[in-house]
Amino acid sequence: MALRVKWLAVAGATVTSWCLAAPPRAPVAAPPRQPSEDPHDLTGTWRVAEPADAADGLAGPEDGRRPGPRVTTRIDLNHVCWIASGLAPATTTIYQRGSQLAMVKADSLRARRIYLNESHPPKIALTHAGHSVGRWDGDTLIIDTVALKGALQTDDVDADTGRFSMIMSTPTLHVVERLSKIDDGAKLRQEVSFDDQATGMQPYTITRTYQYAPRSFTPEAECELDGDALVATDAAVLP
Amino acid sequence: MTGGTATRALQRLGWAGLCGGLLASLSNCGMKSTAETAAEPDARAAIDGVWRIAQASDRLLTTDGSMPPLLPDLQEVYEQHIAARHAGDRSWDPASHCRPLGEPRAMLELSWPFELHHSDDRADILYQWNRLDHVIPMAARHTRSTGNFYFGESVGRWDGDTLVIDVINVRADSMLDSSGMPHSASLHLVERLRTINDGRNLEVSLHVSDPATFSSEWDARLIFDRDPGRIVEDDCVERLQLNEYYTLDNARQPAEADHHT
Repeated sequence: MALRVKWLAVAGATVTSWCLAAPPRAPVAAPPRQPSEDPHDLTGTWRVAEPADAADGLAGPEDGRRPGPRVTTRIDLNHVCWIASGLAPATTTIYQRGSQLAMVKADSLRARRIYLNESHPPKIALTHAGHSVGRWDGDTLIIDTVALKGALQTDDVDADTGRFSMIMSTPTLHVVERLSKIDDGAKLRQEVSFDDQATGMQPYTITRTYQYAPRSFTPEAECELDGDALVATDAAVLP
Repeated sequence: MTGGTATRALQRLGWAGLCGGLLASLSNCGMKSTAETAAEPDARAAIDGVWRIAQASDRLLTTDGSMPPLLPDLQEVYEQHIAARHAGDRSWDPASHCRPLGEPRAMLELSWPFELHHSDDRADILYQWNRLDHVIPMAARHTRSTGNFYFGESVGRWDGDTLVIDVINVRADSMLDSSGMPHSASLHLVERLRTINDGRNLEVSLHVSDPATFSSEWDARLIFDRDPGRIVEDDCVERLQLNEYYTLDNARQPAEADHHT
């Protein structure tokens, strides 16, 4: 009996002292399993569920305009640090704060921002993300983007061939996105239209769908490798 | 007190100890603490926004303003970095090749701003410098098996209105600050972020543990101003090509010729 009492006291004291001395373990809170039911609340992480088809938008010329500077290519991303545009398909985490919507993307751009209920300023620097303003049209967020530079990936990489389509941006390229929740908010539909009237480019529209995917984390990507980062994009285009 | 009474008293003491331990276990060893559940949502929301270091410095000092307690061999390495930097040689610095800065250096680097966002399952610190993103899974645990990264393997949790970020597995070739403060792969960094002064400032308290580099653990405190501006896209490689790596303003004032009108 004495041994049992001693064991209980020692065990109790040991557990007590261990727990008081040990740092609190990270709490494992239940993550949100469902996206917000509010159609105007796009917050959360979204993973590409139904990629755009490379053939999308390739129907015959419309209103007499010629096809734009659009190429289907394959880039060896192991040999170039190519900054994706904000329009490339990638797992995306959306934060909405005040009049700004931030999209954190699991690609080399990493983030783009959409300013709600604003107009584009008269002069904007060309960037890989471009300058984006947004407004709600019913339950659809319409994002208007200009001032893009570089090559824009427009559809998803074909798993078999490694090929995907790109549009070579110009200072007059105009992109309109329409984002809306579907399937009771479990999915996000993204329609992207490219137009460049100054170059006579044929308007080009793609559609892809994202699936709500909480707790999707992408490991740190190391794009900028010594020397390789300085290779021009063209040099990495594969036949 | 009879022997039987004493035995029962000891037995009760034993059970009390065990129950106390179990209660402590529930409250401190895995379950949410009161502080973790009682924070005001507004206080947590206030941490979101754009921040910029209040007093620019290329050196990370301890809370009392002294140099971190580098071990003699590492002190020599640090002095070599400083000497090389003064001679215009940054070959020791991975960031000179546009590799990620890591933390806490990224918060200090040339006073460039960063933007903080959080949700239930993650937080992101989005740096203007080369568009870096430090992803912090919330309510997660270290796996210790994912390899080393410039921003390490991070997990986050709330302690009241303080965001606590626990970082391990940091690549040893990154620096703790721009002056070249080294660390080893055994670095363990705990960052505590909270707003102060009615949300006008962000306080970041750092606890640094790295027995292979420092003779003792040490703390630092950084203060950031809320920045009314916006994050501007930065391309480190482009700056490198323009030989403007250490110019502050080039990312904010792009060439006129590039403007969309």
